[in-house]
Amino acid sequence: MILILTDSNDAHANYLIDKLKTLPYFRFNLDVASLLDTYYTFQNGNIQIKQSGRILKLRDIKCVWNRRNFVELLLEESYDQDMDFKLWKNEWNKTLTGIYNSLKSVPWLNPWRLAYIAENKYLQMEVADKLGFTIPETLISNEIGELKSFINQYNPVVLKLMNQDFYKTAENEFKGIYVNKISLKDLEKFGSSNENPIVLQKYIGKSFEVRYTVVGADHFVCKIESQASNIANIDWRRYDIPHTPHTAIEPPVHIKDKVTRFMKELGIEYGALDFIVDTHNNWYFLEVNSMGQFLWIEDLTDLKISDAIIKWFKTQLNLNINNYESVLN
Amino acid sequence: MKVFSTNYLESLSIEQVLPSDQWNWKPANSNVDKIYASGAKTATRQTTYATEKDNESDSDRPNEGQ
Repeated sequence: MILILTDSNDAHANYLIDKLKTLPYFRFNLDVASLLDTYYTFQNGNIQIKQSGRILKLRDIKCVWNRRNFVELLLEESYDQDMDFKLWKNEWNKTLTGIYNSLKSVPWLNPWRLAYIAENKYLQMEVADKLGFTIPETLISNEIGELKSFINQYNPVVLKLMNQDFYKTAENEFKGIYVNKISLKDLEKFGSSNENPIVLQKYIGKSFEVRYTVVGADHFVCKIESQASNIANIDWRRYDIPHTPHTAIEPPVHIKDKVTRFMKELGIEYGALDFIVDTHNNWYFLEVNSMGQFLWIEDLTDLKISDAIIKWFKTQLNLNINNYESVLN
Repeated sequence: MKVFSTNYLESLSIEQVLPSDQWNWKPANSNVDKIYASGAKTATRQTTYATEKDNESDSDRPNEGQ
């Protein structure tokens, strides 16, 4: 049986489950509403989970698809938590790590600890550099002098954040921060103390961007022509898909080779990597997301990413994968 | 406390699925009306901003000594 760790609103899980057909699975939703209707028992080393009337005996699990790991909070739930809620959430999170401990001998896509380790951007840069990827010049500092020097040297530069979170404003709106070009003048607002380190990166003039998704040995590469959009040209996550062509491409052999080694180095089998390709066809590694989204790529390009995930499931379940191989090859 | 980066806060990008005649390119999958997951983590968050954002903030994660 496949264990799908997700939440009740995960469109990716919905889509995959529709395609599983006869493959046995248990969908374990980790959102608050679902956990409020979840009953768990650990006794004599055995774990049983009942959620919304469905029962799982953990010993039946043969592999895990890891979409979520801990109690999933809606934006509103992440603010103004009362004591009981915090206690409830903390104990559920510890319970989940107990479940994961019991599943340490089955294959995961991706193993949860390795997935979190792989999210470390410093580690990503270190490994990418070691493997010979080109990385944009980067500075992480809260020293104003260093920041100014960097901009002087590499102008134009962009401001990025390490932690992509949502913040509730005084007007009770949730806002986030995209990639933005910044100048020396902008740094006039940078305080002389009490600032956190910020990430500056040399802006790379793009020909196009790439979303590079890996599932096991299968590589799916999507060219994102963000420069065709006035909205998405600096950060394609300011989605303007109707004006941002997405097409499947073959990556250069040397990039594919490095990606394969990069994944192996991080110990993960699923990853969504982002690249920039400049006007001289140089590929710049930006980051990997070990739990990154892929459906919009599949929807737009017909790349069979979900079939590759199902192939991975079938491999773990020791089932015939010929049908999926024929789709992929 | 006021920090520099908050000067760049902006509303979250929300996917708009336009009628296909307003697209300036043709996807390999012409069935664009079914694009429901263009980077958004879940429907509840209604955002395409944090494509990979794991919504548990660090403080919500158990300290497992990663």
